[in-house]
This record gives sequence, C-alpha cells and structure tokens, in this order.
Amino acid sequence: MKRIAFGIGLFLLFAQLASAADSVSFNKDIAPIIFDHCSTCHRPGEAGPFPLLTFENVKKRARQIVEVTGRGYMPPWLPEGPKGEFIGDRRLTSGEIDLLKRWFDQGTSEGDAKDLPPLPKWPADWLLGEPDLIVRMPKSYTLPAEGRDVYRNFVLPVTIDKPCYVRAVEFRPDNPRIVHHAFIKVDYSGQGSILDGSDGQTGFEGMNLPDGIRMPSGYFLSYQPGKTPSSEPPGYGWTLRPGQNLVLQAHLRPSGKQETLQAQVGLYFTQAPPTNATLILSLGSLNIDIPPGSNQYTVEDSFTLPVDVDLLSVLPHTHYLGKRLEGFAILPDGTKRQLLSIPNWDFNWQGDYRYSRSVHLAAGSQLRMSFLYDNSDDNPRNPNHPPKEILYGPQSKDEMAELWFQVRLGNTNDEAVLAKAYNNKNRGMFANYVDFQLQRDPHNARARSELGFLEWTDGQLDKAIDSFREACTDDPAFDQPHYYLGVLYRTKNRLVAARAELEAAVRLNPKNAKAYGNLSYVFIGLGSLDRAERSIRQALKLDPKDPLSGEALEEIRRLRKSQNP
Amino acid sequence: MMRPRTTIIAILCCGLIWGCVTRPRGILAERPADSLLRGAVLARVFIFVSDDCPISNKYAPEIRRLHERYAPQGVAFWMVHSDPSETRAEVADHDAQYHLDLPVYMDPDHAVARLAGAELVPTATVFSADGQLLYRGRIDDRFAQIGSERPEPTVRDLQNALEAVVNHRPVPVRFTRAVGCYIPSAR
Repeated sequence: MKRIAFGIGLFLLFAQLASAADSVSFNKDIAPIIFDHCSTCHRPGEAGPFPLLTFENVKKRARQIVEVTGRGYMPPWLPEGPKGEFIGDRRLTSGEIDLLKRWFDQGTSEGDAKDLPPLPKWPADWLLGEPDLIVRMPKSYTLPAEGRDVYRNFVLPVTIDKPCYVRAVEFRPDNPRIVHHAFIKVDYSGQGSILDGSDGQTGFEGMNLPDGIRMPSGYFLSYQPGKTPSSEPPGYGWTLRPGQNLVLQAHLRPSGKQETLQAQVGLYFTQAPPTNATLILSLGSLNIDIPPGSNQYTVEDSFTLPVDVDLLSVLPHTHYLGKRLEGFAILPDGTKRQLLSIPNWDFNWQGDYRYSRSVHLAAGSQLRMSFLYDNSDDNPRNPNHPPKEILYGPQSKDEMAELWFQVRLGNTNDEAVLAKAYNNKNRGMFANYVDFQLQRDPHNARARSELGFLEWTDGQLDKAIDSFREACTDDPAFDQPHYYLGVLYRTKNRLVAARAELEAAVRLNPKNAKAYGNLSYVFIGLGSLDRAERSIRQALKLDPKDPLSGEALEEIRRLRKSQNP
Repeated sequence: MMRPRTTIIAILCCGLIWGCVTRPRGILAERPADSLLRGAVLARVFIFVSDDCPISNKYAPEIRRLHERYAPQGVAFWMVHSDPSETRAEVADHDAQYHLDLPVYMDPDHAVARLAGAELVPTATVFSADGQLLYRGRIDDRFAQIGSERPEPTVRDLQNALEAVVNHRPVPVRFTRAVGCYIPSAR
C-alpha cells in the first residue's frame, strides 16, 4: 500500500513537472520570438500596422498571430528551403510556431516578470548610421484613399561634384505603411527629370522605365519592409557621377485615407574606387502567352555557364499570376542544386535574396528556371475577372518571367567569355520572341522591324532591307524601320538613300534623337554643314547627354574651321 | 434571459445617446432618435471596425459610399468598435482622418458583437426593422485572406444585401466569410 502511494506521489510529481515545462508564458517563451521576428516592423513609425512590443500588444493579437504564423504569411518571407540560406531569413521554426499556438491555446499567460528579455535597441534613425549623403523627394506625393495599387517613380536629385563610390544605400520612407516594396535606380539618361511631374503630380507613373533608368550595373537595390540594408564588402560598389539622379520606383498601396509620401535615401560612400566587379545574369522568356483559366502554364529557361562563377544574390520577378518560382543549377556531374524556391509567390513582397554564403558553380553548370503561373479565377490576385489571355509586357496587367543572378567571377579574364555566351543567349531569346510575335501576327510592324535588325546584325543585308521595307508597309506611321534603313544605308555609304529614310523617321517621330544624330552625319558626308548642324542641335535638344552627338558637333566645327581657316 | 429584440433595442438606445452626446453630426443630428427605433427605419446596419486593422481601414471609402447611398433610403448605419482598448477620443480622431461621418457605437463588452455574431473586423451585419438578421459577413470579396487581395472586388455582398432591402426583396446571400483582424477579447 505504501509503495503504491509512493508510486502515485511520484507520478503526480512528474505530471506536475511536465506540465510546468509545458506551460507557455509570454515573458519566458513568447517575447523572445516576437522581439526577434516581429517588433522590428511592428513598432511605431515602421511598416507594421500595429505595435508588438508589450504583453498587452501581443495578447490582444494572439489569435491573429497564431493564424498568420501558422500559414507562413508572417513574418513575410517567400523562399522555402534550409533556414539561413539567405541573409535576413525571418522565418519562424516549426517549434516557434507551435509555441505561439500553445500559448494562445493555454490562455495567453504573462508569466514571471524576471523572465522578460529587454526589448532590442533599434537605431533611432538610419539603420546603417548617418549617411554620407541624404537625397530626398523634393515634393511630397499624395496617394488617393482608394483605388488600385500605384506604381510611381520619383526623381531624387543628387548634388555631388565628383564621382562617388557607393557601398550601401538605405531607403527611409516617411510613411512606411503605404510603401509595399521599392527599387532604387540610377538615371543615366536624364529622362527622369523630363518625365517628372508630367501628369501634374510629383513623379511619374508606371512599372516600365526607360532603358536609361536602371539599377547600377552588377547590383540589386531593392527595399521591402523589414529588410535590413547591407554594405558591399571592400573592393566592391558602384559609381555615382555628377549629374546622375536616383529614381525611386515605389509600389504604393492605398490605405483608406489620403496619404502622403516624401521618402529619403541615404548613400554611404567609400573612398577607394571599386576594384572588383559583379555582373548580373538573367534567365527569362518573352514568349509568354498564358491561356485564360490555366493554372498549369510554365515558363522555362536555361543558360550553361562557360566559366566558373560565384552566385551572390538572386532576384525573381513576375507579376500577379506567378505562382511557384524555381531556380536551380544542374551541376557538371548531373546533380541538381536548388538556388531559389518560392512555393507561393506574392508580388507585394518581392525583392532580392542574398546568399549567406556565395554559391560556387563550376564551368559547365547549367542555370535553370521554371516558373508556374495561375491565370484562373482561383488566383485572387488575378487582375482580370473573368481571366483573359495574358502576354509578355512590363505593365502590371501583363506578365513577365525573369530570374536574375548577381555573380562574381573568380578570374576577371573570364568576363569576355561569359559576356559572349550570355549575349548569344539573349539574342536567341529575342529572336524567339520576334518569331513568336510574327506567328501571332505576320503584319506586326515592330516585330518585322526587329527581325530586320536581327538579319542585319547577322550579315544578311538583303533580307534585312526586305524586312524593313515590309515593316514600313505594315505600319506606314512607324519610324523605326525607316531609322534602321537609314543607318544601314549610311554604313554602306548610300547617303542619298540614307537621308530619305532618316528624314522619314524624324517626320514620323520628331522625338527620335538618334535619327537626327545619324542624319547629321549623313549631311556631313553630303557636305552640307548647315543642315548637319541643324540636325545635331535637334538631337542634342532631345537627348543632351548623347556622347555621339557631342562628337558630331565637334566634327562640324572642325570641318568649318578647315573650310574657312 | 433577454430576448434578442429587446437587447438590440437597448443597444440602439445606448448607441444613440452616446452618438447624440459626442457626435452632433451626420444622420443622428438630422433625424429624431425615436424615428429610427419606431419603424421609420427600413433596416439597421452594424459594421464592425477597428482603428488599427489595415483591412478595416481600407474599407473606409466603401463604408462612406454605402452610407451616403442607403441612409437616405431609410437604412440606419452604425460603426461598432468592439476592441476594448480603443477610446472614444481615438475613434473620433480616426474617423475624422478617414472622413467617416457615421454614428459610432462603442462595444467594449462585446454585447453587439455577440448578438451579431461578429468575430473579426470588418464584418457587416444587416438587421430588419424588427430585429431579424438579414446578412452577416464581408463587405465585398476584395480580400481572399489576409495578404491576398483582389485588385477590385468582384462581388459587393453588403451592397447587394442593401439593394435587396430597399427594394423589399429577399437578401440574395445571407452569410459570407469575413476576412480581417480578430476582435480582441472583451473587457
């Protein structure tokens, strides 16, 4: 009897110990998870819509927290795969998710005050410290209370008097709750200032920027709420020159009330010019034609590396129909190496992912992508209801398929080999797209004109001339085939024919700066310096930064001097 | 045990008194309070909202539009705040920012939320003049779940229900699933 009683006592003791170990408290178990993974954004002035800093804050949201962590929506992190593969991986472990659920199920107890860890110390302002240069939107932008999401580009004027080498960029929106993601680009062309304010509001609309406004060569500059900016290692960075402004491309989401945005960007410089280069390799396809209702449409692409590379980071891009995005490499021995896997793409949380440790791929490895799209009505983000056929295009109603890799070469001599193979790949991709468009519509003048360009650069001049002529017939108002013909004739020294085509091009499109530039050289060749100067002044008016136009003007001056010494 | 109809009338009285005292604007200023209670009203709409749920806030313009459209047709609107940590001053400030000029009912003990069966914000409920529940659920289908949003709604459920009410037709769909933020526990 005594022994039984002892046995029962022991059992009760163990049961009590086990339940003490099982009971979850805020101070001991939950606060460390929340402070580490949530509070960075969920605090006043940051992107999270409510604070998660105290027991009261978290208790109030407990049911919500259990739900959104349970299905992986929060903390926001798109890639699956081993934890820590990428820098800034915010995901919770399954143990942490389970702990949150148990805490809620057990009634959200606060626990012992002495268990509560201190709140992390966040920098009051810039996460990377005081920037070397702060640039900001000169005027604030007003976002309407409702309507579709807005893609708006803002010019941030930069005043520097010598080239600066940028090692880091930090984006600080003054109203982070409306900025869902953003890219920071450099205006190499000066076009941003021309487009700025053209619709009456500060900035300009659209996802599709002119070629001259892009991320600095070899670098990704993206922002998402909660992403910590990082600094390039010594020897790396990009150059910002006097006269180049930044362009902030922001995805803004109406909140229910009118909002304003006046964002700042902090630039961090390094004294020494960069000695090492990084390159961007992009996989992708333009041949996108997603049938309405399909949830099985896949876009694939590949590129076999001719040299060894190290992958530093990866940036996927599709719009609202992207569903499952995969990037991987087939190594020379045939094994598959996962590089990025996003099981449930969310356009709103896009950005680049930087590998914690760079991924070495030997020459002969094949980079591959496979993107799955959902153009059915089951995809709530589908911009069309009912669904429509969707083609390639840069606007949010179109689709894209791109997977970009930032790479470093072990040997700088490899760059030419890589560039040649990569340019061939891109040329093939472009040629496929031209074929695809002409199959859909043989009278597509733009595609026909591009086909002519491909034939020309392939040395098939007669075929090229035929294609350009056909494009001119297909769309008599289109300047591009006339421009190409003009340049082609100019290179063959058929100056009279070149003049006729280039004059047609500028008549059809008075903003075609390059046509004016070429026309100027044609007039120089024809000995008509006055006409040449008029043309080149027009070209410079349209595109003040074109170096060739500057050279042409010099040439005209030199010729005038030699004619009238 | 109070009968539901009695309860709702009691709640309405409370809401009206508070509304009259602190918000001398909008529908309550224009109409004598007892006319709302004595059948001049075609239906009563309670929309459960909160100050800090982004989904609830995003609906402010739609709530305003529906109010402007159906209040003149005899539908009474209340925005019900069931988060016990919200204060009247905060709510008034919030509504001014979002240009919401509707009567407000503070529901910290969840009396209205329980009666209407609302668990999260925003939830719309429509009651007939005699206290029958005609509709409960989402305002429209813009949100499939938190973080998954259509560019535009394809079904405007609350508007459909109110359109049916003002045309004296049965409400087409009585229940839908609301998407948003859970209402925190009662005080």
